[in-house]
Amino acid sequence: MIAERVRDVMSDLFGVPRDAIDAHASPKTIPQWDSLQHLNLVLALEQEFEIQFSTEEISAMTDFTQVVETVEQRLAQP
Amino acid sequence: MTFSAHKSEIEALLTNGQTDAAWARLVSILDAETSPQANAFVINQARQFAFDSLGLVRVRVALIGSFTLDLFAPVLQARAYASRLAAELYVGGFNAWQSELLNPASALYSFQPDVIFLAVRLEELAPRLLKEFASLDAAEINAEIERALDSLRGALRVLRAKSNARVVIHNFAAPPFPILGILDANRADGQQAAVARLNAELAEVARQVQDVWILDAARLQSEIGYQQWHDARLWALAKLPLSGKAQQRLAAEYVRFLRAFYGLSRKVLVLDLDNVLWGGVLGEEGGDGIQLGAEYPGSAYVEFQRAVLDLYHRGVLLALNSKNNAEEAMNVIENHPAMRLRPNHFAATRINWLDKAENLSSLAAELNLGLESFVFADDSEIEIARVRSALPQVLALQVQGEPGLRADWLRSLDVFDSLSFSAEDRTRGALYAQERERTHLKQSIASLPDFYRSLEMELLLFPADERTLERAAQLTQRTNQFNLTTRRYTAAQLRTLQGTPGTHLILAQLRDRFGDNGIIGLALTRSDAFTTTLDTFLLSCRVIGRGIESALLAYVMELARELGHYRFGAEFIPTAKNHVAENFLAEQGLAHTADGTWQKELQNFRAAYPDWLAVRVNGLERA
Repeated sequence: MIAERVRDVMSDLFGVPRDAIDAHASPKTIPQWDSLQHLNLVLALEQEFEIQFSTEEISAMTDFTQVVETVEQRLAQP
Repeated sequence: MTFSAHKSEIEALLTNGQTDAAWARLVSILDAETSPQANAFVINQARQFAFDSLGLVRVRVALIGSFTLDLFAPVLQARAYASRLAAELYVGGFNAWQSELLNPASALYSFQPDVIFLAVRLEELAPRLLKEFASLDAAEINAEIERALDSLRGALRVLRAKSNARVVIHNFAAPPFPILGILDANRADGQQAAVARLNAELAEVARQVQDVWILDAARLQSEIGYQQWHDARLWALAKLPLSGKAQQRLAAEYVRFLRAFYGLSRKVLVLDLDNVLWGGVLGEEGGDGIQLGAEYPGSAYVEFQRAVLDLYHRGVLLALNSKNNAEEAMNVIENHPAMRLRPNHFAATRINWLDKAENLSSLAAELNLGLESFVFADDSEIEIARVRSALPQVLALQVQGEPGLRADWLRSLDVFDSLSFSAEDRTRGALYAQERERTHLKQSIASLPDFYRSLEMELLLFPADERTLERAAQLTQRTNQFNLTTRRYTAAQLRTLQGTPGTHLILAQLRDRFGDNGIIGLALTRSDAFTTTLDTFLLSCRVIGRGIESALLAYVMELARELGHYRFGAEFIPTAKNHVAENFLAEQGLAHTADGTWQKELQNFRAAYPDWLAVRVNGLERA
């Protein structure tokens, strides 16, 4: 379910259809996902899931799968 | 959940030709959610709308400053859409504000902005004041402050010579953790004292340079708190020091300025009575049973009324819209010892059992103001929902929750902004109460000229001076209906114009047997050797339709003829709100020309004033 919510956020934020965001979606496959939009993605996910990423995590989330994993890790922390 | 559900609804409305409803649907997303993806969705969808036919105000906005603003731009753009502003944005480079302002060939100037927001922080402008403060002596502190002010002054001077854009400049927040710790606030040479001095000087600069306004960034930061305002991660990664929340708050504040610049502020607060101005239901509990007085919760309602009264003195019109027995309710308003609001504070009242949306429409007609100027506050969810659906232009707000929090809630409403504050503001509500008396008289007198004669009106016409410039500027900013060109001016701009040879700024003040209406009309003309052109001509909506507009124009044309300018030109720029003035120039005998302007030859012109108006020019009577 987390993956689906992440996909929804990306779809609205980048203005691309949901099915354009596969497991390997990254700034290379989605031109709108530039370094600036990456920060918007971070803010959007933090708001959506009520979590906060570290600077390191923000830099390490370089494709869809990593984003979902990082969100899941954050949610698992008490 | 994505916003795709909204998308199909919006598309369906658009296919049906319901463009306004589709737009309202789109921006309503932002009422429910402020997030980067909501902003992105609204901005993407907005591309398919024609802003002009929606009646949005177009404005060119430049964002420059000492940190990265790219991420902030969409936040502002979405927020502006929600206030009926279509902003085209220019975003300056990181800490490039000085070079962009100082270089006359910069991209900033070629963008030709209407409004420039200048977001400079102390961290970049005067870092020593923040980071090396303990090593500075008093003279060095002053030198730092002066250096900061000089660079701002210098940049603003070049800007003013180069552009007419309005400028909104951030002031500076004091450091959250002053190096002197608990001692800092005690010392005249403390860090907070230094920043306060810098802010005071900056406000002085803003007052001296035309059309420069201070955005109180220091207060915004304290409103949500430094810990929530500052985002160290975004600063590290993108040179943007603002958290997502801070960006939203800042965008809302920018839009307040834009609304005030473009005449989109609200002007009327319409209130319900039961459980709004007092606790309990009057019809059930009676005048002695309602909660209003020294004891909680009555004290909370007294506080709420005091906040309402403050708005009244700020120039916001008050009105009532309540389902009650009118006689019983007016008795409480007039006689209850704890009431702070009295009948004379209300410009109009609707205490009856009619539909509240209908009441609001008739209040708008009575006050001669558009519904988009109205705020309606009621405790009933049903009434609020009814008004929202029937009259989407009205900002309908539900009064609810802890009574003790409501005065602050009212004071936090950010929709009544205005760029000036004058003596007229403190008494505006009373002017409408007088108008109510006049209307009462109108209904008892058969013919209109007889009615006008019975008013014993005296029209004073005089050039603007230092004492009246503020009011003149306010008229240009607030008047939307009887306004031929809707050009907005600040007092500083008018002062400059007035000093320009060939420019005349004439004000009209009206007195009648019910009182002094204050300054209610304005004409601004520019002349060259042969021609006088009407730049701005407006009349406050309170006094439309008493022959005053004709008298003012007649006087202006006579003045032009006396100066030997036999050709008189004027224009009418239609807006969504100034229909009432569209036939005025034709009615006054001006001819429509091929270039779209209006002309009249004044060689044989003699001003004739209606017999019911005693016209005095600079204190002298005119026939």
